[in-house]
Amino acid sequence: MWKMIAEKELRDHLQSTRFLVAAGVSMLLLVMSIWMGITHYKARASQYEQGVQMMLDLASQQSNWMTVTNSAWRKPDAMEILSNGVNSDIGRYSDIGSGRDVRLVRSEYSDDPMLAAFQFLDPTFVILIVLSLIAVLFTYNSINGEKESGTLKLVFANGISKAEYIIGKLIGSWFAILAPVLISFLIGALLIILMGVDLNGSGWGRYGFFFLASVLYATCFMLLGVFVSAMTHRSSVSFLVLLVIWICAVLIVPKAATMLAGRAMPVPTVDEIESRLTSYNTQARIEFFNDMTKRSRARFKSMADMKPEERQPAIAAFQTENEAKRKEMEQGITDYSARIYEDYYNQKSRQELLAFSLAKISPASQFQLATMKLGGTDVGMKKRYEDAMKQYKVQYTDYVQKKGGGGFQMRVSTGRGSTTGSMTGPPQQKIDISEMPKFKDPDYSFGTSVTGALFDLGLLALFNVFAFVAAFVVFLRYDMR
Amino acid sequence: MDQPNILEAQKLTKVYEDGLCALDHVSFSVKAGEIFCLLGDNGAGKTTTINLFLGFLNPTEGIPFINGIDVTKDPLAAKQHVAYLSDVVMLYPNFTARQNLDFFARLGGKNNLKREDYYNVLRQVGLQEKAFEQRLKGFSKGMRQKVGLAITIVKEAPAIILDEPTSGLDPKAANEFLAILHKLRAQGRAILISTHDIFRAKEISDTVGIMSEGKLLAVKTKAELEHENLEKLYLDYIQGKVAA
Repeated sequence: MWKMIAEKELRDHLQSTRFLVAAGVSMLLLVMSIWMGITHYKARASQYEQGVQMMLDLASQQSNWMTVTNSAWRKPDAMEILSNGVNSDIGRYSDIGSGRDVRLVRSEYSDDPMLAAFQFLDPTFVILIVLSLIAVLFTYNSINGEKESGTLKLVFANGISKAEYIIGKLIGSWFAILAPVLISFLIGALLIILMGVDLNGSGWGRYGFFFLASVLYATCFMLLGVFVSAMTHRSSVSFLVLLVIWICAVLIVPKAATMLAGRAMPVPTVDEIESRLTSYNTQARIEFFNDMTKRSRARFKSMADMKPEERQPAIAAFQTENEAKRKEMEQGITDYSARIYEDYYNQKSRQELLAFSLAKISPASQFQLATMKLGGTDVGMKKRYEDAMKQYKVQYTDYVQKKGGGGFQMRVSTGRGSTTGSMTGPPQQKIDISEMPKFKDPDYSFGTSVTGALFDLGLLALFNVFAFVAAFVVFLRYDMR
Repeated sequence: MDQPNILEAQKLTKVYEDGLCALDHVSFSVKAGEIFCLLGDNGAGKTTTINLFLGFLNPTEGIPFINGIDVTKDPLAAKQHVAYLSDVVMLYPNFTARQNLDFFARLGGKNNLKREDYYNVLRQVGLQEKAFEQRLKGFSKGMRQKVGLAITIVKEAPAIILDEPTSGLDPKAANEFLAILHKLRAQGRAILISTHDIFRAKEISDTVGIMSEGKLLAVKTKAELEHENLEKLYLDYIQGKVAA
């Protein structure tokens, strides 16, 4: 019997204008968002290639490692197509070099404020907003609508149990919602292949999990729709109730949770942190210069009575001493920066934990967090890159030291760039950059992404189980009259 | 030969949780080939009686039987022997007339019917051929009622329960509807109709039960009503001028 009900339900949906319009719109938006994601990804990949190449070209023209302006670029990940997450919020590259803090700059949103104002239309956004709304539209009158039209009594005038009916109803509705999602993802996969996006096995695996998360999320709202429809006797009432639930779950809860966590656990802003670091940095350098000036005066005074052959070793000793002092100063700045950032990240992760814990009462947040993890564009993305870039910075500065690029650089900001000068280091022929260490993006494998998303996917699945049980139990008590 | 009771109400009583007595020891039976009309105004207990037969409500006291099966004990088995048509017959507007018929036929256990079988039933209820494969969206109430009646016919159940079947129908459609009921009676179906239409009740029924405030005040056969003014009798009963 349940099969018959499921078949009827599916056919009823498929033959309705409501389904055709809603499924058509959602499929169009989903496919369009995937296509836009691919275009965006390819543009970013090209920008990345150009940025890296330009940096290498400039470096290869230098004759001293000291004058090389190295930078580490974030390599675009094809999974950004599905979930843009914080990708456009964080910078695309960071300058790398002695005395320079690792800081991701030039985010897409900073370059294009219009994009920041209207955000990116990625598949996650479409599913988050459109698919959930469609799931509600499909089911808000699934039970009480049948009561209003008299078909519920007509059906139950036959030998069918309530359990069989509700199971059939849920399965039929589920297939109706699954159909546009499945078709869109298949077309999306085809687009990815046809447009030449190099998605490896891990990428396809994550694509599959993204589909699973989307289905789980849409099922949540479908089950909620049936539950509310079975709780009420008028479809106009259930529609209103579901609209309120949808607004709260999708629009209010995630933002309110972030705001509440911000109030409960305030964290200094990045600007405040940067300002503290800049003052410390400036102070340390002033002290270093003052000390160096003082010592050099004393040294030159003491060298005045020296014979010329005695002066050379004295100058060399002074340079060694200076270099040690400079290293000490640089280390001091690095340690202070590490301390202050560690403290900041600890506070930030406590705040995020609270915000996410609060937000996760909504399936919308569960879905969004899961897909961001799968896409590698979660809130941890910035730290992952900065950590990898800090490691690279150590590797690179050691390499430059070995190549005789010791000394320090002085960057003079001119507002639209910077000029770099060196106080020490002998002039050389053009440098060979073939052995220059290359920045490697932080490892974000299939296992890492899926493991990260598993908790949120589990919560979504749990939410589905609760909603299913609720819809089932409420319908068993439903008054057919 | 005396026909068997297909529908039987034995002292049916329904008292709601708020203490409202919707039905008070109502007993009657409908035999095969008989049309029994429950006549009463709104709130008389007609629909409550039907809801008890269909298992949508549990009686506080008494037993409803369908084809000898106690509905309270085995509602699913009992409902295999009854076809029902409610006053609100919207059906599935996205389905065609034939698709609606197909779904309810299979639900009623008729799994091997062919397209032509459905068409025959739709012809039987007088639906125009061109409407067979049209969606119900654009159907008039009369046309939907015909499809609803086709649904009750196709199940081939020995009992048929109709809740206010002619309400909202124009006179022509109502007459066509009643003509079909006559045919069903001739086929030996036991038909229970709830209505507040006195004239239709007299015209169609073999037996009329007058209900008011949850009580079955009188049961009159066609022969008994032949020389009676049913309207006056009905008003006398519900106004208490005649003792039940």
